[in-house]
Amino acid sequence: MQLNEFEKHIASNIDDYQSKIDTDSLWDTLETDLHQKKKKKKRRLIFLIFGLLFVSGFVYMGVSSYLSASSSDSELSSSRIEQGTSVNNHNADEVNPNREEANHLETDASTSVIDSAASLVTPNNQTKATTSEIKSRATNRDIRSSQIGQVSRSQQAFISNFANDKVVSGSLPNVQNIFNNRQQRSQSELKPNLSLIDTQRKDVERLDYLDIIPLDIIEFEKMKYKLKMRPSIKPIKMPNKLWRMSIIPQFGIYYTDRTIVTNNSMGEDLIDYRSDSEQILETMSLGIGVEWQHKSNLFVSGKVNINQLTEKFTGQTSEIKIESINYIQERNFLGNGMVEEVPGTFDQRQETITTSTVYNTLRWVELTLGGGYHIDMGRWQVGAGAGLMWGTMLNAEGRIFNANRNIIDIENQSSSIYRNNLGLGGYGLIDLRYALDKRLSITTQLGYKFYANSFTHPSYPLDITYRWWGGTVGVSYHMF
Amino acid sequence: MTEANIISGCQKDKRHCQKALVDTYAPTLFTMARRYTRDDHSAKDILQEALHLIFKNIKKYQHTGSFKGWMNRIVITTSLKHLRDKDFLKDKVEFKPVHAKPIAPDADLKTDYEAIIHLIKQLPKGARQVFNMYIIDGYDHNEIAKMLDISAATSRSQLTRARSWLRQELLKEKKTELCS
Repeated sequence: MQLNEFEKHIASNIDDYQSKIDTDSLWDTLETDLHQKKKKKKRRLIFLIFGLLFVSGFVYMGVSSYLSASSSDSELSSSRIEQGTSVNNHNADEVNPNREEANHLETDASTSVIDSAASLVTPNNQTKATTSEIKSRATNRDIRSSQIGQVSRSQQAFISNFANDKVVSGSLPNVQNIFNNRQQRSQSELKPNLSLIDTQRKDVERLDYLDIIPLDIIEFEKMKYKLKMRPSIKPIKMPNKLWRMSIIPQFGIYYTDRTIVTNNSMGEDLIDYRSDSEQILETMSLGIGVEWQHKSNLFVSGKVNINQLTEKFTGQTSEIKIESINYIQERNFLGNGMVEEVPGTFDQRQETITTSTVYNTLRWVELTLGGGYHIDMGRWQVGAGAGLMWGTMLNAEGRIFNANRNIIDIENQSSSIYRNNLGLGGYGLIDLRYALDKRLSITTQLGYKFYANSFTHPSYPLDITYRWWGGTVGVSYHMF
Repeated sequence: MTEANIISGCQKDKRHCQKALVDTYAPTLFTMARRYTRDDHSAKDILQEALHLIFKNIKKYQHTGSFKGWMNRIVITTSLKHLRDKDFLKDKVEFKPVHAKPIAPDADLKTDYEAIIHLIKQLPKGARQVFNMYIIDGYDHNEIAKMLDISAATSRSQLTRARSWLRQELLKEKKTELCS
């Protein structure tokens, strides 16, 4: 067979030749590999969901504790409190001259407990009348006049003693329960070991009370400190305006997932050469936003962000010099002393390889426009939003592999492998705010953002997509 | 299952379509991988990697050009990458005499494709790559130079070398035919 004939033959036929291969075992290996990649994606999603649940759990706990604390405050209007206090003061003063001191107690449930304490120390006939008034005002107080009527003198003294020492914790029914339980037991059973009690403490200095206040005082102490430590939270009444404008400077850190994909469906640029550690990138973001919030809690916002992405690039920089060397590839002896020389060429390559780690930095400006909805919960505000964004590259430095695994230096803008126009993208976020006062709020956002088309250069078969998820912390200042 | 069904199924990540793609195309793609490498073990690795890339990127296949051509290109690129990775740090030019293993005496190069593949595999690495890309896969010298990171002159030279070597082998075959 002649060479030309051979070449034509193989060129036209060999592509259809099917080599023997066990496709079942090949598929098994591939399936496992593909399945594992999907599992990784699922795992990442689960982590994200759990993270969000964790954060929302914290938010819920914060909000619910705030609501429970503020509900007792809000149930009694200030005028009613004053009115109730004056009535009770009048009653209490008759029996207990220390009542005034008790009025200054600063706890969330102070009014109810003090009032109750004052009611207890009044004679029974007065208490019944006063208690019915209080009960009608404060629904959360389970003071039963019948129970109060059963309080003994020593119990009254116990309560007044605690009131004097500002140990005003817990609800009255708890105290009543303690008394009831104690009544069912014998005195000898309840008597504690006096040697174990620190008699220097103010609340136990009168040892004759120890027969009715055994070790339960520890519980009272705990509650007392809890209540004292809790700051006084009062809801802020926001101005009732149709639109409110806020300025929001923010700082954020995003986890960045950069994927190098093809943009021309060809095989030559499909490989992402980076190692796992190089694929985890961080983006810092600094921005300022303007937000208009409608009375209906809908809001629109615009933001300008300056982002900086830092990526670690570990690669072998190489310099290759190719020199073509001519040589005689073949000598054909034609007879009659004639020799045909077939020239050949080969490349003399001189390659210098240096392993180095470079940190690439990319800085770009980003404009976002979006909207969403907020839910008000006193000082807390929870919201969700989404929008579009557009970005443009400011500066890029460093180096990167191209599809042929050659290192390309990243330069600025037009000569960069990155196109200066990042294109359009989108974002979604969950927003949580805490109002410090009428104008100032602390805001934190958890978000996800992406560019639909991103850093691409038409000269290189390289397309890079970026996806970010992370959070920002900032301050929201309400202008009006 | 038709080619269109396989493609659309694979684009939707359907397992049975992916399996059908492997069953239908793996043998021919394996032939291609074998042409570029010396040993079948490496060819299997290349095929596996190439199929993985095919499944990963099939959603981007835009039905422009033949599907087989698209897959072939992925296999070629993966093969070249594999060969490049193998001696990524080596600074050498492969130019050493090749002692071909003899083709089976009863082999007919017109019908016995295993013998042809065996013959191509005997070529030196550079010559083999250029021969495969130029003669069989239809790339021109400039494209080959770009893909292999060599000069176009070197590509031509490697082809001449491959042809010369093959001519000798075919002459041997002819002599064997005459003898028999």
